[in-house]
Amino acid sequence: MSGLFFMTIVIFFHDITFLLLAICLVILIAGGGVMLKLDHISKSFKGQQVLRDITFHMAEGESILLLGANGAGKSTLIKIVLQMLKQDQGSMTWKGKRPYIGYVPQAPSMIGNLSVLQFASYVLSLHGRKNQVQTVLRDAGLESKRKELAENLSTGQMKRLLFQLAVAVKPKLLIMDEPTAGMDLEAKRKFRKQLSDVRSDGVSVLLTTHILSDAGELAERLLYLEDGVIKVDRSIEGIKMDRKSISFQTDSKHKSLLLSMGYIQEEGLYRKLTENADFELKLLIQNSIRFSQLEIKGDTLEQYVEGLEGEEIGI
Amino acid sequence: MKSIIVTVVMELQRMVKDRFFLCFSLLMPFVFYTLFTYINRGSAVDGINFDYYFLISMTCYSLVVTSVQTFGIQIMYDRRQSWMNYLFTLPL
Repeated sequence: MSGLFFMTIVIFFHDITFLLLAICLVILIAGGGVMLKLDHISKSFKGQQVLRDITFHMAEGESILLLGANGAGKSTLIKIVLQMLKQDQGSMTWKGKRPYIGYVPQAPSMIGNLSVLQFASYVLSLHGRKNQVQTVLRDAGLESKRKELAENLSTGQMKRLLFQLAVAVKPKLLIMDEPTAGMDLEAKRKFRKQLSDVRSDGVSVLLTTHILSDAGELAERLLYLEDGVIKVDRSIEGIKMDRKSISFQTDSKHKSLLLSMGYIQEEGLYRKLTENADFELKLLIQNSIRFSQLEIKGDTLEQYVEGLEGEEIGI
Repeated sequence: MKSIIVTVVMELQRMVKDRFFLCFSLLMPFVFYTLFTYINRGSAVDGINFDYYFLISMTCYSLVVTSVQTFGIQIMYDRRQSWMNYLFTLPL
């Protein structure tokens, strides 16, 4: 009898353990890693619809590149996430309490009549990190300008300072609007390095930029806005794998055949953009085309975005 | 509370760098008070010592100039600058 009772207890707790594990798993899958959810966000100004039915989720530690033509609604979306603007429709939910958001604005301007040192001290004091002032000024390369008025700094210097201030307070989410615009080459290099460190610490990043050569390294997901609607939401790695550029060298006797197959001749090499590189290689082999210096490269982000913008303006 | 104190200190730092404020709200009333009380020393207005009378007058002048010229204009300029948006992102 006692054996039966013992068995019942074991089975009961065994089931409870499984039940708890299943609940944890469901919570984890159903959004444990999601930091921010935007559901059906819409916004209009004076009757003009700027954002329409924007829905996306941002995972913890994820880095999103927000692109779109001028007036597509990027800045409005950023302001809604920063709660500077209130959406007309839809909801925005954070995982737990809204975290501190580091922000680097597109057109920075500093508080008037404050020196660089006073400005940095003020921002850091609000976060209780005033002791990091010297580190921030050193990392921003502005130690020599500490007594100058902050409003007299150049755009690049202001962005460097705001980026260092945003990073110094250990945000959960970093939002940057054109962060590298106005920066010199050395500052851009340093910015990329620091942003990579920040991302490896698990900070989520939402940025917009028009310098797409940088963007591929800075983000892992692309959101492309067109007329206030998300037209593309996919991984940048996936974009690079999408289309491939094939280039090779071969005898000139194959020229007419290759041109008829859609290849173009450039600097002694034959090139073609294709969505199926394997099929193209098979075709070359079937047509007994012997080639050398074969190179297959993924589509770049610039080429992809140029394609999207071309579609938008009807090229 | 701490963020309010930090912000008040910051605003004071801004204020002492504002030449308009220093000139019209502090320096000018002080100079006028010194000058006119020196000229009218010993005199009285409605039985009140001129020094006291003029002290209140200049204090009022200073407050009016601060509130109308400095404070009002500063709010207008601040609202035109994008750093006001930046402040919204800080834990104020």
